[in-house]
Amino acid sequence: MGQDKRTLDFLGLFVRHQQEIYAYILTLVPHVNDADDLFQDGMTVMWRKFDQFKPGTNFAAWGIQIMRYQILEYRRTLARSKRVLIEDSLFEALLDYVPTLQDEMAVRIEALRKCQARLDDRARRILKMRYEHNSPVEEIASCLKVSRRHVYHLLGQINGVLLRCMRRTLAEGSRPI
Amino acid sequence: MSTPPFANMDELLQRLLDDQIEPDEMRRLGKAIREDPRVRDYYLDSLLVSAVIRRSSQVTGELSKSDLIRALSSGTGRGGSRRLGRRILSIAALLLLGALILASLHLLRQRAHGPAVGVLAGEYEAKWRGSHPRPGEPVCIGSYNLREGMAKMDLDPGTSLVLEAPCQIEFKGVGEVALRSGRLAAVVPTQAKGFRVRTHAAIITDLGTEFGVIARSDGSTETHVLKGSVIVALDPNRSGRTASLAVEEGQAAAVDAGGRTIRDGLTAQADLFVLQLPSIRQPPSRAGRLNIADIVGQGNGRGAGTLDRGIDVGTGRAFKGPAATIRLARRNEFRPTPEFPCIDGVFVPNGALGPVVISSTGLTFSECPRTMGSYYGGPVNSGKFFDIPSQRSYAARLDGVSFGTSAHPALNLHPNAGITFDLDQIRRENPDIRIDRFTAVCGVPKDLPQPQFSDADVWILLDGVVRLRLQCPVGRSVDERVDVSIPAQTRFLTLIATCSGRADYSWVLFGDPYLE
Repeated sequence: MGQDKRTLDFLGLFVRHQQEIYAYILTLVPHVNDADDLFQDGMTVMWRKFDQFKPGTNFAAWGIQIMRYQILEYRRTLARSKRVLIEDSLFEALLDYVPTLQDEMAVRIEALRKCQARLDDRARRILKMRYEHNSPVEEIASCLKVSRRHVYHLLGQINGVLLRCMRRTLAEGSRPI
Repeated sequence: MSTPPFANMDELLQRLLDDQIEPDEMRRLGKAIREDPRVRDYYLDSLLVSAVIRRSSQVTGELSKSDLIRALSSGTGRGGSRRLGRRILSIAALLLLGALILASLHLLRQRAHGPAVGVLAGEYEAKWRGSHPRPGEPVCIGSYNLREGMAKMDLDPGTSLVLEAPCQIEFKGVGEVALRSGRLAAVVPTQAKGFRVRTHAAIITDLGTEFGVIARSDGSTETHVLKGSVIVALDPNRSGRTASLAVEEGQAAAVDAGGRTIRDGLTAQADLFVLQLPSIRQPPSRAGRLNIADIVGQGNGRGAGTLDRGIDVGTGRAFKGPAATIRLARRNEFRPTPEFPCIDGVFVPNGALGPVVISSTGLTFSECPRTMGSYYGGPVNSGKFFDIPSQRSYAARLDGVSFGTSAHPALNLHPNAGITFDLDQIRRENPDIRIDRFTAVCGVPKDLPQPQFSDADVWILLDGVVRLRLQCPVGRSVDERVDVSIPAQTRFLTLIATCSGRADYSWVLFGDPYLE
């Protein structure tokens, strides 16, 4: 594989599947900053090992395998720290369960993308602050001049809207013509 | 499932994402996810939403600006991109790989990757979010997020900064920082004159000084000049207004959240800032010491107690704190605490109502001042206080360190309240530990939602004799190390917090309270 083509192929696949890969990390490591670190480090490993990827096979599944090892190593490293990690029994249960959802992940993500575009401006602004700027809830509360608890409520509401929309979109997509 | 299976699940998930969930909450959430498929599905779906938005709003969003990447991500070449020569395409791809990595480094993690502007000279109990230097390593242009403790940075050409958590700061270049939130103290030598601190609303320019800046979460800014003078100016980009003010030594100025006005004539408060890092505390090893906050949490002093558990001084019974209401005691009454074998009892101190009995043996606190007899529940194994007007809990910090954690336990003693420990019983239950002294850090946190309403006093008594009195007056931030030696025959250790008037925001806290 020529170096240029290798680069282009990797970029194309990575950009297309990054949300599936990141979602896998975040469900097992539900701390945004740690998940970002793992995602970035894992991306470097994927790039280094890209020669081992068989074209035509499932890139997300291949990437997730690499991330799995990164995550296990991360938990080993933090095992003795005072950080609040998800407990071993839950982690292992999720480690087994999450891959069973992988087949439908791309469709769910696509549905969520469409639903995200339908949100009103205020909801989008709140999501942008929370996820794009990674703003703490306290900061959002201060900007919106509401209590922290109300921000949790708003984020929960937007989450609910997106999940309902995702389900509706998925149901419409699977309805027989 | 699109609605949360239980009431505060959304809040727990958000705090989990921020790494702010408490261990017991994590255990409860984990149990629910394992045992209830509805909770599991909601957890997975909610995190999928977070993941999709986080990625779509960052890397993908940035890269989608490029037609080439759009072509790549769709997997098919478009007419336009076909027309690109192979060489240009290759260079573009390599540049984009660089952009991808840069986006990951700079946008996802907000890492600091610019040139070095100084060095991290030291830390105290520091915990950072994201990339950060270790002591002795360079501080670079970029953002840093100090979540816990303090950090000292020595910048070129000689400015020294002490950051106190929680603090978000961005180094913009030599001689300029943006304080996004939190508190810093700066010592600026003559050769670094002109050093600037930008906040949400203000620009503070040094004229050869020592000064402190607080960037509050509501966007307002306070500048306190400890030596020399500074210029405080409105940020015209913020409010469209231009105004500036010279603030001299001993004075302070405040800029409102909208960046529209500068309020001067305030008095500088040196105790709000730390210019030198404290000496490193002895790590809280459990061996050879007993945590008395844990005992208040119905534990054994070795971590078995329950966080946020306390003793109601009105009844002597256990309650879940921090208290959310104010009560009034109309007479002095010592309340035994049968649910807490190592505690003799509790009381509401008020010198105006006659002798204040502080033990089951009838010892009294003759120095007790007149108080209003109001109380907020009682002593609690917690670093949290409840702000009644905003109906919010606040986590207390002293020296930038959060208390009320397993690493740093806290005994919350909101006036007016007293508690007497039965050291004889504690010795019987812990024959392996020799009790020689009581140590703690004691004070009122700096970041109160409102100033204290009246002066507070903290009293430590051994067998009814006052061994230490710590004054916490209005307008001064007090944070003192306590070290009281305990003679071998002493039976009772009594901790009391009193307030001369209304006790609102007199949030007295004992951090790392150990018998050793």
